Amino acid sequence: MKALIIGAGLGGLLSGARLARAGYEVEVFERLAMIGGRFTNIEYKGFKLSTGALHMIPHGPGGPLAQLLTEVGADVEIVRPSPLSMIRIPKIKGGNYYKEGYVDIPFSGFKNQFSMMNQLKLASLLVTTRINPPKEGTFGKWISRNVKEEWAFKIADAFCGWSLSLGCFDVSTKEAFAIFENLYRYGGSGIPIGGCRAVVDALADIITSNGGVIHTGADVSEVIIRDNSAAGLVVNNVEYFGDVTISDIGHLETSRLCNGAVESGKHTQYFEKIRKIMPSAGVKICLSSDEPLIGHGGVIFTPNARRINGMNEVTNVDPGLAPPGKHLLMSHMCVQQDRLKYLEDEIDLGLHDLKEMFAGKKYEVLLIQSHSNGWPVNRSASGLDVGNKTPFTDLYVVGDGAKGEGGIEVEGVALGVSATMDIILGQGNRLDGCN
Amino acid sequence: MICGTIMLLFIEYVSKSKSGEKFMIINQDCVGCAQCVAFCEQDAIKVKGRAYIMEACIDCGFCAAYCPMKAIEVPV
Ligand SMILES: Cc1cc2nc3c(=O)[nH]c(=O)nc-3n(C[C@H](O)[C@H](O)[C@H](O)COP(=O)(O)OP(=O)(O)OC[C@H]3O[C@@H](n4cnc5c(N)ncnc54)[C@H](O)[C@@H]3O)c2cc1C
Ligand code: SF4
Ligand code: SF4
Repeated sequence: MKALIIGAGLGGLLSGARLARAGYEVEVFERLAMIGGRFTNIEYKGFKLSTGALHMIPHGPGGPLAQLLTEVGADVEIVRPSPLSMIRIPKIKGGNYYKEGYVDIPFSGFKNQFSMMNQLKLASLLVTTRINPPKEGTFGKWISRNVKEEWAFKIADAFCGWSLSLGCFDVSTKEAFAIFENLYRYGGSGIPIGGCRAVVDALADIITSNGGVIHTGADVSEVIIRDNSAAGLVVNNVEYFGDVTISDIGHLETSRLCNGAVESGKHTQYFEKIRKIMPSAGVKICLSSDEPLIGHGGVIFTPNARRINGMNEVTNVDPGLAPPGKHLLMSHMCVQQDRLKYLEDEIDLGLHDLKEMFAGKKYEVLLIQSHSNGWPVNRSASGLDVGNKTPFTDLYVVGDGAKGEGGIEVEGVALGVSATMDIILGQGNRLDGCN
Repeated sequence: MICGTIMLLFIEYVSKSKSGEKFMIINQDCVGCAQCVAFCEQDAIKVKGRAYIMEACIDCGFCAAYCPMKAIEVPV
């Protein structure tokens, strides 16, 4: 059996590795001169920056991605930092931003910031929502109905902005509670030693050592559809044929390669659905310093900043991500779609936040990276995913345009790939995790 | 016809080189991801919200192979 894969991002490589291990002949086609998509390292001034992800795997060594990596035999060390996450609050209660200083408190302390009345309410909600997770409307609206207090919106925006690059009014309540449940089930984040690239390189090794091929500079221009089934691909004007095709570029982009077969006739329902999928946008600002700016590898949520949602300093876990004696801090801020036309102003607000938080400390802004549209933070803003199937047999979509429910970013990618493998290889296909 | 096009390109090249203007064009699809920056050996790209090609560019075209948005236009 032969599998053709469009795109060597995390979704494409996970699928390729799994199918190669199942005995498939695998051929991966990547448009760019490098593999890994938005989940790999870029070397800059001796630092291992990244194309997208902040060298962070949302559920660390216990999550869906780590499980899938173990299953296919990818040898990646994922370290859970300690503390896992903190919240930065202004020194003066109710203070604006961090101008007058700040204190970092453990994440669980977010409850104590509420009024006494809401603390009691929250304690009961934490129990009842686990038994009966709410599903209606947006998470922001749910907060308005249940714990209407400014702090609730601030902390929810920081959390949603950091993990999904969305505001709390743009996340569905159903998705938000599915994410919380996954946090209970799998635990918090971890850092892959060697950064994102360690993950994609390990997967590429599995593909090639099992006889697969990864082409770079290979732009797929068409999915050949015959009898409502994907028969092959056109790549740089050459035709390739296979038994199954997996696309790592999202539903809409994939449908555009199908030569009008989706828009026309009987697939209009699917087309209408995928047209509604919206990407999420964000800005990552990378700082270098001689002395650590945070001092640990956990996430710091910054609910009182103007724009920055959170940040991490990965060199406290893996010093190899910076040149000797240097530290690397990455901050993330969500950008609302209607603010994209004022992107430079948004970036300035983010830079202002950092200046305020690190007043008196010496650091350099290494790189400012923004992501939107066709190269977004998240191809399908969480909760909008439509699954991995397409109207065509033997054509599947994986990646962050087709995540599994409640799966934050790469965890959602892994859940989507596992679901796709269940369809292609049949339920009960799981490997034992040995090489 | 082809000779004419090549001639025109050559004249444009000479005039652009003299004026210091660059051939590489960043089109409106650029999202500002800065992926190109890391691959430019001349340190000729600056990014803030979008990419800007600087004077130091030698028109090698290397960066375009790493742009996910096909936003760097290389003259042919
Ligand atoms: C700023 C930022 C911060 C993030 N932080 C985190 C984080 O800390 N933790 C986390 O878990 N996730 C994070 N993410 C999200 C994570 O990076 C993505 O979810 C993940 O990398 C998506 O992988 P993918 O395989 O779906 O897509 P991609 O990585 O986009 O892969 C798709 C590949 O297909 C290629 N391609 C496209 N069109 C074609 C074509 N026609 N022919 C051939 N190839 C093609 C592309 O070049 C690309 O390499 C972040 C993302 C960004 C941008
Ligand atoms: S790689 Fe392309 S999209 Fe990214 S900043 Fe450079 S020109 Fe813009
Ligand atoms: S063309 Fe070459 S020198 Fe010019 S910006 Fe691109 S990589 Fe740098």
